Amino acid sequence: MSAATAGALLAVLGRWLMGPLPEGSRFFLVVVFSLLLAARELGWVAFPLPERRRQTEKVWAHDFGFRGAAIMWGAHIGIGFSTWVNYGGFWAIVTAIAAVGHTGFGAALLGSYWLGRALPVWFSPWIFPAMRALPLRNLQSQQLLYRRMNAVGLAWSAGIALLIMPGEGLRKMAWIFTRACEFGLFNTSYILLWGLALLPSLLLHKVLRDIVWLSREATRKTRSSGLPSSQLHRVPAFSAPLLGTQEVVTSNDLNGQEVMLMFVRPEDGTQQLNKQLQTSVHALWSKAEGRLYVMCSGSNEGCRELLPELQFNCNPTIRIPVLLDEDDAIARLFGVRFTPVVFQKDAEGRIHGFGKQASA
Amino acid sequence: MNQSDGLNRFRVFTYIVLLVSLGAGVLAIHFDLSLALIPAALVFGWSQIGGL
Repeated sequence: MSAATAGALLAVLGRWLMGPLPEGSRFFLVVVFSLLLAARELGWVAFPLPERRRQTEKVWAHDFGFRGAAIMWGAHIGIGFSTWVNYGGFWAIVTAIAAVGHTGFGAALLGSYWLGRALPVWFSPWIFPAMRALPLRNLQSQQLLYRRMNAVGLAWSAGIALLIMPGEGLRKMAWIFTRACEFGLFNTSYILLWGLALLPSLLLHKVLRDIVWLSREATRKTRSSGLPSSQLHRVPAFSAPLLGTQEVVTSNDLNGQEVMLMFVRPEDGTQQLNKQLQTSVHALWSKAEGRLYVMCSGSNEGCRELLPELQFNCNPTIRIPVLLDEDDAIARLFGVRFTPVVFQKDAEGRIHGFGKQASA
Repeated sequence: MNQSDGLNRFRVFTYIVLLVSLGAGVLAIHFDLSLALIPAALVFGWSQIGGL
């Protein structure tokens, strides 16, 4: 319903925005845009796409139950613009809906896109039988396949838009050629010159982005492993509420036992953090013989999103206690700058181990 | 079934979806050109799972 509504509204908006343009020009725009996006998916050109950098809220399952959450997730995805959209296909659909400007067509097209997004989830229990954890998140390793799949779809869309353009095939080509000729030699050279300037700029942009990313990663690694354990010998006094309860845990409660305290901060990159938690939190729990506490520095909502990663699919009764450090004060007491990091405390309250989560 | 098998199985399903959609698109051309964009939209939606 949300997808159909969003598609219909998009068509109305498109009719209003693109209405003054001749029909041929509107579809020509779809052709050019689709081809440009196909080139992007094939890695020939690089440019960012507008997207909302968030995913559907996992915490809804906790708050509303799986049935309610499934409805909400479906509605949220249906809006289309409200979650991550990494590939260009979505924007080709948006342009096509705007160019056609028909509400029914818009609803059908965005509805189909929604169906395409929902199908892998519906089919996954059948595709992955007898698997406790569905590996849908690990499909990123097949990203190249999905990018190529998008490129095929985009080339298809461009071809269809070309066929939809008013007039017969040869007349369409002639129309495009005439429009190009009308530009004249000077204008064409001018555009080509911009193209020549644009390509190295895009390349330079990518190189600079990669350098900045590398530099940040290097700084992050240096800092996160650069906290000498000699700076902190004993566990500082703290008290923190236990997430999802009224209970408060203090440093005194941990006295007399060896525990591991893992600091996480959703702000440091939720996606990466989820992956790290998935891969090593259970091993860490075993290593700590069940005495593992997670200290989450961040908002209540952000920390709740991590809860599914801290559950044991094989034994749902096991719960890793998550302490909430909303104002980051406890993390500062421990000198934590980047997460995840783990502190190992002995029975006397001394810290005799410190390290990144993966190496702990 | 281990994770690698599961992922390979999903890859095969992806190819099937792509081929069926292209077939449906070709079929749709005979009825209405604009309908031929609907299977493409489905393909775009399916492929988004690889970008999450």
